[in-house]
Amino acid sequence: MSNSLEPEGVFRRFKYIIKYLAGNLPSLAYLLLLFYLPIAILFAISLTRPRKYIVTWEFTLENYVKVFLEPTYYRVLWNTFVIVSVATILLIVVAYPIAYYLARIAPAIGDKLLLYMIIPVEVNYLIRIYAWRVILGENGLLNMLLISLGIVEKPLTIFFYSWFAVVIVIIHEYLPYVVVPFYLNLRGIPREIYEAAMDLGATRLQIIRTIVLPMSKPGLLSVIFIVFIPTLGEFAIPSLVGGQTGLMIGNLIDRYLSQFNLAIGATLSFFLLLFSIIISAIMIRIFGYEALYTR
Amino acid sequence: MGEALDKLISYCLAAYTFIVIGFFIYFPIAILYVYSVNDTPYFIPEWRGFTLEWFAKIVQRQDLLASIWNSLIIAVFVTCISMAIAIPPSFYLVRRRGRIRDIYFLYTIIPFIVPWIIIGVADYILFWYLGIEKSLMTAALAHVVYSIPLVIIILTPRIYSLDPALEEASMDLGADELTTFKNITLPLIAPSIASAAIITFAWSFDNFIVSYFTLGNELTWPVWVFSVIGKVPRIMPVINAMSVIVITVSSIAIYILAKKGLTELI
Repeated sequence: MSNSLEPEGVFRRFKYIIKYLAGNLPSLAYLLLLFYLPIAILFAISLTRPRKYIVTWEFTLENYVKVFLEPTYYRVLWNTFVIVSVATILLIVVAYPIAYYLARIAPAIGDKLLLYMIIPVEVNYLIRIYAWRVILGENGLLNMLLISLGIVEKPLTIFFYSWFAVVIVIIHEYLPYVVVPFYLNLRGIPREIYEAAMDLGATRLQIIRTIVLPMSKPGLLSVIFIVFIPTLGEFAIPSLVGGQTGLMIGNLIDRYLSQFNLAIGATLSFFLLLFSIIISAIMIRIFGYEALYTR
Repeated sequence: MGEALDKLISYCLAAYTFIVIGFFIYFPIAILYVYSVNDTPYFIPEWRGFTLEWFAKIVQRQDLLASIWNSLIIAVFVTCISMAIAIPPSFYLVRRRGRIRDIYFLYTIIPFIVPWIIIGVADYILFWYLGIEKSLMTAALAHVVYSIPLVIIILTPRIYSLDPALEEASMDLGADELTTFKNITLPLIAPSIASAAIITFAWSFDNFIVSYFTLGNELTWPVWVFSVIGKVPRIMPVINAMSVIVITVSSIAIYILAKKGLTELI
C-alpha cells in the first residue's frame, strides 16, 4: 500500500515544482534579460576607456574618478541632488496640509477630491511640462501679469530656463502622488485614538505632534520612493524648462549617449543607479518593505 | 475659544486645499484648453477669437496621428505582456515565506526603485550591444521592465488581504486548483487586476524617458511632442489641440472607471 503511494507523492511534488517554475520563470528570465544583463553590460562599459563611437574594452577606473574630480560632472550631480531635495521637501510641505484636510477634516469629500486631483496627471506628463513653458516663459503669462500689475517693468528671466522652473514643474508633476500616501496614512489612524486623546484633554496641536506626525512616517518614506528617486533621473523637465542652472544628471547622460560616448554615459548611469539603490536600501532598512506598498 | 480656533484652522485648510488644486494643479491645463481654441499660433495673453482651426490641423499632421497610434499599440502590448508575466509571481510572493521569497521580491522590485532613465539607458546599450535595430518593439520590451514590478506592487497587497478560507472551502468541496482559481480567486481580485492593467496602460502611454532611449524612427506621443517643441514652427497650437483631446478622453475614461468601482486608482 505505502509503496504504491510513493510515486504519486513524487509526481505531485514534480507537478508542484513545474507549476511554480511555469509561474515564476517568465518574470525571472524577463528581468534578467532586459534589466540585469543590460545593467551588467552597462557596468562593463562604464569601466572602459572612453572613445567616441566605439567601446575600446580597455578597462580602467578613470571614468569614476573623473565623475568626482571634474567640475562639469560633479557640479551637475550636486545640482541634481539639490534640485530634487528642495522639490521633495517643498512637496511634503505643500502636500501634507492637503492630505490632512482631506483625511481628517473633510473625509466625506476626500476620495472624490483626490480623484479630481489625480485625473489630470495620470496621462499627461510631457504635456504639462510644456504647459508650464507658456506660464513661466520670458513672454509668458506670469511675466505679463507682473508687468500689468506694475510690479516689474521688464520681463523677468529668472522664472524660465532655470533651477526655479525645474522645481516648480517637479512639484506640479508629483503633487498628487505625494498627497495620496499621506492621505492613506492619516485615514488609517483609527478614530478611537483621537477620541481617547481628546478625552484625556489633549489639544489639537498636541494630537498632531504626538499622534498624527509620527504615524505619517511611512508616508514620508513612500515619498522618497515615489518622488525623490524617480526625479533623480529626470530629464524631460530640465531639458524643456531647465536651461543652464537647471541642468541635471539626466541631461548629461543624454548628451554623452547622443554623442555616442558610451563609456561616460554608462558611468553616469551606473553612478545614478548605485546612488538610488543605496538610498533605497537605507530606507528599507529603517522602515521595512511595507512602505513600498502605500501607493 | 478652542472651538473657534478649530473652525478657523479648518477654513484655512479648506481654502488652501481648493486654491492649490484649483489654481496650481488645474491652471496649466486650463491654459492648454484656452489656447487650443484661441485664434493665434502664439502664446500671447490676448483673446483673438474662437477657432477650431487647430483641431482641424491635427488631421493634416500624419506624424502626430502616427505617434498617438504608436503609443496606443505599445501600451496595449505592454499591458498584456506584463499582466501575463507578473500575475503568477504576485501570488507566489504573497503566499511564500522565507529567504528565497525575500530575494525574489527584491529581484523583481529593484527595476521599480531605480530612476526610469536607468532602464532606458541599460536597454539602449543592450540593443546596441546585440545589434538590434531600435523600433516600437524594442521600446515596448523596455516598458515591460518597469511594468512587471508595477503590477506586483499593485496586486500583492490585495492578494494578501484575500481570505484563504474561501479558497480552502472551495477545495474541500472538491474543486480542483484551476476551478478554485477561476471561480473564487479571480472574481475576488478582478478589480485589482483591472486597476493594475489600467495603471500599466496609462504609465506606458505616458512614458517618456524609457521610450526616448529605446525608440527607433517611429515615435510615441510624448517623444513626438518633445521632438517638435521649439523646432517646428506653428506646431504649438496643434499640440495644444491634441493635448486637449488626450486629456479630455483620458480624464473621462478614468472618471468613469473610478465611478463604476472598476479600478482603485489610489
